[in-house]
Amino acid sequence: MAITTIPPPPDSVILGKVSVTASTPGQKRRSLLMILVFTLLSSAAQVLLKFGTVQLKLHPSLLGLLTNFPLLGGMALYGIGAALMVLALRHGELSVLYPLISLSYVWVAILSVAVFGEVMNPFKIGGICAIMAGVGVLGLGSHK
Amino acid sequence: MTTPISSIALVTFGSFIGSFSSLGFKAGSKRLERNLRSVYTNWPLAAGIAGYLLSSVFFILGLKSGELSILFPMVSSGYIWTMIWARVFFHEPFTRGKFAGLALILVGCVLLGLGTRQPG
Repeated sequence: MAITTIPPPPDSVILGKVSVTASTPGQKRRSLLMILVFTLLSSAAQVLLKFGTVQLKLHPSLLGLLTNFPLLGGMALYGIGAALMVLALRHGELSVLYPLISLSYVWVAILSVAVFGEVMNPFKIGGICAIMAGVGVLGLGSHK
Repeated sequence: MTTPISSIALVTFGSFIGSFSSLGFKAGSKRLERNLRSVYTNWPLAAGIAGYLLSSVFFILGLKSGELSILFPMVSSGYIWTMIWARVFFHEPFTRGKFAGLALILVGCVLLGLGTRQPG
């Protein structure tokens, strides 16, 4: 029986002058969770933004804009989501996280039917599926 | 409710602007260090955030009249621009996987466009 003499991969790999520390399984799990929360937050943000634009139509003024809580709330969720994604990307692999990001297309589709009564048809469902597959393939392809 | 062409145009234009902001984020992230000064003197990051906000203005204007289930997936057209800028400015290579992904996204956007004309 051959004994493998390959040492275990080091915790820290020196790339040029920057030291890149390998992520622990716990950090990777947290990244996955953060991306899932990100998709939920950003989908909720889209719904709030849409609500806000309806309200803006009723009160088209600067005061109307500044007191437009759905719009401001949507922007805030957007910001929180973006920060969460940056944190998740620090420890997660892009090829795993990117396909998960496309889950937000599913949440938004469900929410637009449930909240705004938008109608689905085969073209829309096909389009959303193609985009999801595309984002997934992009994530896998960018890894090489 | 159907989605007018003007809304689709506003959202895709917003995504085009947004693709520049990701350039700013990428360039800015290289300058980030563990101190606050590297955040507030980081002009590429500031430009990225400004571009992001500007693109969301176009997105919101587009959302005013149009379906969310069409306009949100259309934002993905910005990935096409991002890939071109990444190649031009950061010399990130085009790969077969990236082309396949972008082709699928384009097909998806065209299908969505057709979907707006169809009653449910």
